[in-house]
Amino acid sequence: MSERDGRKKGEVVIALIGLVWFRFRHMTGWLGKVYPSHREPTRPRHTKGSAFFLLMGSLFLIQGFFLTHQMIKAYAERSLSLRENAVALNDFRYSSLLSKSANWPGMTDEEIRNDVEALIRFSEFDREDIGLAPLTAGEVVRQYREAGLSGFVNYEAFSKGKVTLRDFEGGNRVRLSRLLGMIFLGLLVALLFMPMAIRQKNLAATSDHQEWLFSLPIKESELLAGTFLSSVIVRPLAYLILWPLLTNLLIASGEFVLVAAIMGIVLTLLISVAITGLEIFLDTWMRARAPAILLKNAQMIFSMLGLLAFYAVLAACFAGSSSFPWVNWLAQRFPGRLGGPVGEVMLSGMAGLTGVGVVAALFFGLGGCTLAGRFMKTGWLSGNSQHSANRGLGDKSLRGGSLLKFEGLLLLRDRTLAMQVILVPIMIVGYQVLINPAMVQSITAAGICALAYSCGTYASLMTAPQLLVSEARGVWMIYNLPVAVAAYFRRRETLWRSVSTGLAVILVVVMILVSGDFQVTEIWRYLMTLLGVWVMGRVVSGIVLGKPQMPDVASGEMPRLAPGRMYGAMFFAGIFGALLWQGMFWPLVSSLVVFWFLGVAIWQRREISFNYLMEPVEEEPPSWGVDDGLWSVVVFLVAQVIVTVIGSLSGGVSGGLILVSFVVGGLVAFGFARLRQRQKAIPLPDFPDDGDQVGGSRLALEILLAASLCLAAGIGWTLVLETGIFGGADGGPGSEWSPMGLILLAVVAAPILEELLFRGFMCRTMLGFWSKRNAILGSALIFAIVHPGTSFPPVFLLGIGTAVLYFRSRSVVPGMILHALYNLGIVGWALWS
Amino acid sequence: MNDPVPILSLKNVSRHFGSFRAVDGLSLEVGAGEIVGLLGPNGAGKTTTVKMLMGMIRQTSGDLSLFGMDCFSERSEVQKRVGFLPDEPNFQSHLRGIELLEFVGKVRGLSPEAITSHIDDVGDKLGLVDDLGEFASNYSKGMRKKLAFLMATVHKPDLLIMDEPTNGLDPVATRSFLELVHRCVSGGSGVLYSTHLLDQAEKVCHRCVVMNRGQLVAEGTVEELKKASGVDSLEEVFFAVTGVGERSDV
Repeated sequence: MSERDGRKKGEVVIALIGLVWFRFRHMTGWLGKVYPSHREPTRPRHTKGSAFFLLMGSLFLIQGFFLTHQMIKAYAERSLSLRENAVALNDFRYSSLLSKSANWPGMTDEEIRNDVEALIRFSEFDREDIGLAPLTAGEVVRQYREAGLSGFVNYEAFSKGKVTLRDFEGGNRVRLSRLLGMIFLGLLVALLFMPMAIRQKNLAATSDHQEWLFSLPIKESELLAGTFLSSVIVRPLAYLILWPLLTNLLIASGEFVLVAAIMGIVLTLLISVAITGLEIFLDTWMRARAPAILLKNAQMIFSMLGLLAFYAVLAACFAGSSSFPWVNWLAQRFPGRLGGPVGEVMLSGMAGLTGVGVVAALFFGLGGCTLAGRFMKTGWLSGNSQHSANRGLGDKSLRGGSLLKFEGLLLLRDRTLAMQVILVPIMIVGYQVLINPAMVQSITAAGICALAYSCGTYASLMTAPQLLVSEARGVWMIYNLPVAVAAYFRRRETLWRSVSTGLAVILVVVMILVSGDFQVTEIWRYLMTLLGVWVMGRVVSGIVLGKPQMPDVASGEMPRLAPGRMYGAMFFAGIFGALLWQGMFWPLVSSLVVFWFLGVAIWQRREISFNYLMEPVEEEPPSWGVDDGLWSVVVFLVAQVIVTVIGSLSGGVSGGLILVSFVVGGLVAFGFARLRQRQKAIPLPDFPDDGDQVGGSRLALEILLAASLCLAAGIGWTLVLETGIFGGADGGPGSEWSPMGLILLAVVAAPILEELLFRGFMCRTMLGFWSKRNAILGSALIFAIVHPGTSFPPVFLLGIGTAVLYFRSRSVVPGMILHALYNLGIVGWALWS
Repeated sequence: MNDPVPILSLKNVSRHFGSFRAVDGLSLEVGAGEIVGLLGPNGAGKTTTVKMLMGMIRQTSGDLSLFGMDCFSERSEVQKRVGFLPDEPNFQSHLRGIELLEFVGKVRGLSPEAITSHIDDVGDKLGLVDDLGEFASNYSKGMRKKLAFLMATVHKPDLLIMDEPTNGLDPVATRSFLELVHRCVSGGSGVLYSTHLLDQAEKVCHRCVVMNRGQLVAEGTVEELKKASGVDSLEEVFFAVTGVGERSDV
């Protein structure tokens, strides 16, 4: 018996190591070779995510080391060296005050003030240097008169210094590092909760590799121990979250470095044990015994906890202007120990945390193990066959339904989604209010609009991937329906976009009511906000849903979405948000039109790409569409703004800077267009073969004719504007423009770059999806809308003229000549008049 | 049933995944009122063929047409007349069986009465009526198959494409299922029956197509196939034409 046990012990150890290794490989996506080769196309599922977390964790650690080192140094210098002196001096002042105060009754304020000031002078102590609580003679007198000496002679008032890590400021590098830290920390804390919010990512799930594990000749208890152990050890998030804290400790703890390290590792493991226990509880017990609805709710709650934690961390970090809120938190909780070395303060805080960790780990770990052990006996893999609670049709009769009902049901029952869409924005606003209550009282229309827009667009951003995720398992059904796949998704997207816009409406109304600040003159801004949510919703969902791939129909796994697309969508949504915040009317209108076009164009492309949802290896064949040209315009505008902003940092916006930013923006956009052409490796769409081509003298004549027509319209329009019926013309080129610079911009740079971009690329790519007429009108509209608002009519005409010439000559050069002639005329007119 | 009008037609169809040829030059036809078995060992290309027919993935080369229409570009038009039963039907997580059926029926333009009578008829035969109030994601494999079959036949399709249809069904359900398939066929529908259950194929199918490594290796009625290979059962035919799992002399 004992000999057999001895042999078993070795086997157990090997089995446990094997299980940990297996789980590690599974987690990092290195299990590829276990699966048959024909599954290769969809194999590297985990790799990207793992790489992302490793990168994120590494950045976080570097940030932690960098910041911690600086903070601790500053803290130590300021508090350790000065603290003892400060406390001693305060003691001295306190006792001096007490001894003096006996004489104060009967003295005038002036006399007491002189007394106290003499005392402060006598101490020869500069309060500013050590940042002590301010002690002024006036304050002493005031408090003495108000409540007698006892009212202010509170030792804490003197000894509680204001030196905290909050005071620690740094340069741009430190601020950037801090910002990154806040985001990483929030994400990591949120992710800690996520395993419990995700279905079928668990110990007992009947996924293929788990079934494979259970087919191994290992005893059930060993399997349980091994799986538990591997879950505890191979949990990178726990380490990533705690290690920056540990680096704080290690740097700060000096002689206690070993204690700190051990304590950190223990705490990490304890947290891991507690989470694993909770996971087992949820996944095993609930799946097997509790009604399905309970599990769904629990998953929703954990998803919410994750987000709450994320925003709590962010809000706390912003409020404390530190990515290490715990340092402040600990320091403030131990005011009496502030005089001690910071490492000790943190160690005692950690000791408390470890105590809590032990209790949590014992409770959840043991609880989870016990439950798992029990369920192993009754069938570990009984899985999710539990459905008795909802069995039977009951008295539910078949009533007439509709697509809307189906979509509504999905939206309502998908609690995680509903929570994200409806609760998260409220949580974000709520946290801000909680941390910074003054914000609500002083909120402006701009603030209301920016918040409502952000929340609404966020909701669209979140529902977009959810659209595919909720369909992932049933997507085969859509292919069996007599509807176009893209049309089906577009309908659902529209419904959910309506929800986002409704949310923005509610937020605007509520915030107006709460702040009591409603101005009729700001109605346009509120309208822009709602239009922005509606228009950007389509753009962000279109971007996010680009090139998704559904996994094997049978597997029911989640589709793969590119996080880069989410960030890209956020960036573009942010452009409109910034304009809204700044309240720039014409740029808002222009971007609204451009983004509206972009939304339509992107979804036009989705009509094609959704047909390739199920393709494991192939993408749709490359083609040119309206979106290609629009992207280049967006790049053109964004690049211009970036160059202008960077250039204006060292001074104002000069004419030279505008010229430079225009040329740089144009070149970047042109480069982008060329890059797209290389990427797609197919020629631009053909010119329509309608025999409309002209050349030679006929073309020259047409250029002259068009130029005089456009110029007449342009000068006429300028005269109309000068009458002031539209509230005056735009600022236009100011006096800082030299005539040479203006001519360079208007007659050389603009015609060349804009013609290449708007006609040579945008108008041409529009032919991929649109007719010639629509391409001419569409490109002219975009061309006109991105120009200063009041010059719309003549520029629109010019856009039509150049586009027609482009098609008639099949070259951008005639358009450039027309454009240059027009600009020369207008600039000449402006300079002359 | 002689020389039926082809409602499903594949001409020289290939599908490659990188260098892997899942389907390689496959041609076959299914006529009205005909059950054609698509047989082959694992990895022969049956599911890929079915996916191409459903317009889920596109062929690398060749022509696939259902009712004379292209499976990929005219998919939504084609699907008005097709019912599909996948090998592993999964459903949206948040919907009950009844709601999914209603949804599919509604999209296909059926009246609630038509859906109810379909459930009363087919659902009752398969023994799924009592479970329709449950969330479909909680169904067992057999129940999922039944629900998918209900959904595939709710609009009385002219062509039924089924991938391993009885996989997961118990013997009782299998029998009622096969009766239902025969009823569809007697009503004039065509059936493409992809399976590796040879005894079932022998009983059910009017004609069989055997695939191996993406290629068609044999085609004909069961009798023709037996005669051509000079063996007694479809199983023997299968081993003979695919060249896999050849019997060692036990």
